[in-house]
Amino acid sequence: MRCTTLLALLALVLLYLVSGALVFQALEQPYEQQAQKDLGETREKFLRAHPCVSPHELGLFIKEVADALGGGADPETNSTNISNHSAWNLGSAFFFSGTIITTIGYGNAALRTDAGRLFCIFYALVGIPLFGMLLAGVGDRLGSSLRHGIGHIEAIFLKWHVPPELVRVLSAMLFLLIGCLLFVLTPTFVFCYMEDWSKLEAIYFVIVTLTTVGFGDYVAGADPKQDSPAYQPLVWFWILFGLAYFASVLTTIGNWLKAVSRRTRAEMGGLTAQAASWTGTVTARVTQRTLPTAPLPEKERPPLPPLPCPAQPVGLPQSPVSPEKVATPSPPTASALDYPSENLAFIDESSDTQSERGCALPRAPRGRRRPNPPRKPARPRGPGRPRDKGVPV
Amino acid sequence: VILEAWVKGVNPKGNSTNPSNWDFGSSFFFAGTVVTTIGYGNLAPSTEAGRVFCVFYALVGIPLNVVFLNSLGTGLRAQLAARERWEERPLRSQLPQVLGLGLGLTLGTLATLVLPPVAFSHVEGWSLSEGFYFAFITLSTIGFGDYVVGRDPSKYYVSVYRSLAVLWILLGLAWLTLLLSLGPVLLRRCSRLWLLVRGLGLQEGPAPDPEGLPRPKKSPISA
Repeated sequence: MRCTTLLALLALVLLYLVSGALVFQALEQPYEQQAQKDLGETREKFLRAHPCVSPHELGLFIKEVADALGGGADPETNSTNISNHSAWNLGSAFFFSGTIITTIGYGNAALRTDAGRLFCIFYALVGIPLFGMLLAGVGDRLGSSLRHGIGHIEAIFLKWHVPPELVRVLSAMLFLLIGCLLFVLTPTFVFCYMEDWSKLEAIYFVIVTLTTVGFGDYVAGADPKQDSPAYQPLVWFWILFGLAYFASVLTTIGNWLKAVSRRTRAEMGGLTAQAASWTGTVTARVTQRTLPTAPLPEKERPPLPPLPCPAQPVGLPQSPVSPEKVATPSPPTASALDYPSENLAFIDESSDTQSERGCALPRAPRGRRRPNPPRKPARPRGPGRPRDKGVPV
Repeated sequence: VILEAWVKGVNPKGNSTNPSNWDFGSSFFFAGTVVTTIGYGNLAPSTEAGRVFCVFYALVGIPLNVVFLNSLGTGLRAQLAARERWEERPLRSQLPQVLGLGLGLTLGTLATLVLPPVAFSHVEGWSLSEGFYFAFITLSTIGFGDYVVGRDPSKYYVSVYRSLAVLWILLGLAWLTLLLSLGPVLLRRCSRLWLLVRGLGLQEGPAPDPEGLPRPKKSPISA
């Protein structure tokens, strides 16, 4: 990535942040002021109704309540029923560790003790990469099974003499649609039913969770009245699968954003080759999977260290597969530089290599190879070609 | 009522004169926590329109941010790799380079990962361990929200304080990305160098190793 591009991106991100700040401010500030005013009025009313309470004492009490809220205590429960529900029973603690390693971090329950915090740091250091590996595996399997089904449908379409570009668009739509249905809409209705949220609240919760933003203003299964034992583990598994799906969706969006800014001829050539290889991957992936990981030709090794993924220090089993799959040998027949097919190639690519930071993976090989001095514009996917020879398909 | 108001993000201690949670600086901070997927949750949109906008904002903003961090990491790495052609140099000149690289990395780590927690704990009145806990929870993008900078209403903050915090988060994440991409490379080179040195029977052999080893240790933070 060149310096100017980088600066432009930085400016774009900052601009995006500023615009978001302005919009959120415009949307939320009036509501906040209203809430503050309401609170003040209620306080006045309370003071008038109970003249025996001095404002100072009330202030102290409120402060105490606020601290307890921060400490995870529930002000609605009194001390008698404290035993039957704790925020740290086994199920909730399981859910909590889930929010750590997925980096969602709702924060509705957070650690208060020093020992807990210390443990949390090391727990996260081990758990997050571990979960990344699991996520990559799940995403890969999920993507491949989805693509398998889509491949069948695609074959049917091709039998009907539908043009290939249209087929690609259709299959991408199918991928998005099925994923949305499975991981966004179904949970939305489930949460509507289980948690008594409105549709919008449920969708908001789903998106905030699956993007791992995790504000924690809505948390599934946090309601103490809710006590079906299978609910929270189910939520956890939904999070696992949904994250795998969402990582691919986010990657796709990121790639769209990137593709819009990418205009150079060399890169376009590379992308078309990639797009052309798209259909090839569907059939070739089975044979690729059985190969030992990363049979890199030796001549690639000296100029640059070929660890293909910066985001995975632990070396996921899938990571070496992805560049090969991208470079699957299929003749670059399509010369059209249209964006749709390019994006579809990204969709295909992105759903293979999943991790939370899965977005980093598919592009990694190209960025990596940039510093390679003998880079020729005529061979933009330079690293891919020699690898083709190493991969007997 | 207090509970509801607290959930809505109103500070119960404050009277109506204290600064809003949704002034520009805080909104900027909030936008930062959205696109970096930290999501502290001390501020969360509570109106319908705000939520709808937040969903789409996140859908566009998160990939944008990832692309940015990614390109920053690879760009920095590419510069480093371009400057150092390790294999073509003789052995003697490799050692200072390793040292220089290690020094640069240490300084960068100090500037992005060590100094800010100290500064935060000073400004916020946290203990050092709390400061590092906050930095870790933030940069791993877990974001519990039990410690958030610039939240204490009894303190006066410079208006750009939270914006600075967002910039620190961006920089820290980028630095982590760089370390992630650089870690394996460094490890490989150091191990090769070490083998080379040991093969020649020199004594400086283990020197580059402690340079390279601390990096990957930090790397899993945002993996």
